[in-house]
Amino acid sequence: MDVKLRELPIWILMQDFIPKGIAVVFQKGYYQYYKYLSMKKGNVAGLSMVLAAYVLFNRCRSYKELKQEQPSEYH
Amino acid sequence: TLPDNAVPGGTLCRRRSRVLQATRIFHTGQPNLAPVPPLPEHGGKVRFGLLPEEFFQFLYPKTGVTGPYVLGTGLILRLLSKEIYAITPETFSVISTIGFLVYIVKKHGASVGEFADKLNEQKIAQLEEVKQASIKQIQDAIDMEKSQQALVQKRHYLFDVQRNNIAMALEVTYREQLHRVYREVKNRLDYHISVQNYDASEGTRAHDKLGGEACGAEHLCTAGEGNSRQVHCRSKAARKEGSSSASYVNTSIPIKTARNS
Repeated sequence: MDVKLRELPIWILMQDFIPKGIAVVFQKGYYQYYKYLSMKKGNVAGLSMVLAAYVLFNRCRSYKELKQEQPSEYH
Repeated sequence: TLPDNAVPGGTLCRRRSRVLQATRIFHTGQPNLAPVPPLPEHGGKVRFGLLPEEFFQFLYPKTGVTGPYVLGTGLILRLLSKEIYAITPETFSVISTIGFLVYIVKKHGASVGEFADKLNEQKIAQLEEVKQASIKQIQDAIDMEKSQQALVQKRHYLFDVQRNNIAMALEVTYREQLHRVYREVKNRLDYHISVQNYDASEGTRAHDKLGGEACGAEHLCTAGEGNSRQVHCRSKAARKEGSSSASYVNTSIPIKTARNS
């Protein structure tokens, strides 16, 4: 991408958060994902990538509660 | 938006008129709807079912082949050591579940794919049949049109036959009438001849008393319906008739020769 990793938060905040812009972002993301979906000889990757992303997302959301399950105190 | 179509492998896809890379400009100009490009055989490549190939290619110039693997290993070790991901009893259930799923997919993935491919092929074959049937229909219609056009070229045969028929009918009626004329004329001449014969016979019977056949030579006879239609007659009345009939008969001959020529 043209954006450096360091500048990522600034770059995100730089985008104007109008509904049309957000829709365009989602469309772009979908079209990036589209090439893993539309093929004649299908793959499990099209589905599994979505599920893995969902798992990760939920883990990130519930990280605070899961922090209590850590067996050792100091790491 | 358009409804989803099932694609082999159980994944869903949505048909769009054009698929663009997200880095390029998006939806400029009129979308070209008419010739929808066919689906690619194998879509974007993915390793381990999770990581797209582009990631590996992205790291290849800097780190070579083992770069992403080392990165992955480092990340996993860091997660474990820092206990960002803690090993709990749940971990083992996760491992067994994912292991089971991977085993199932590896074992039966290909056959499921083939089954779905077969279903798709059946659908396509049906559509192809319909297309071929309509093409054949249209081709048959074209051929029939061509043959009918060719028939139109041959119409003159029909007209020739009709003309021949009419000509034959005309000739038949002409000959019929000619024959009738001949018969009528012959009738009249026969009448006169028989009258004369009768008179002559009267005369001979009367002259028999005188005993002489000199005047018996007035017997007249007509020739049969042979080749010549000449009627020999000597009496004046008959000659009158004969001239007229001769004119009849004589006119027939030039016509007959004309017909024969």
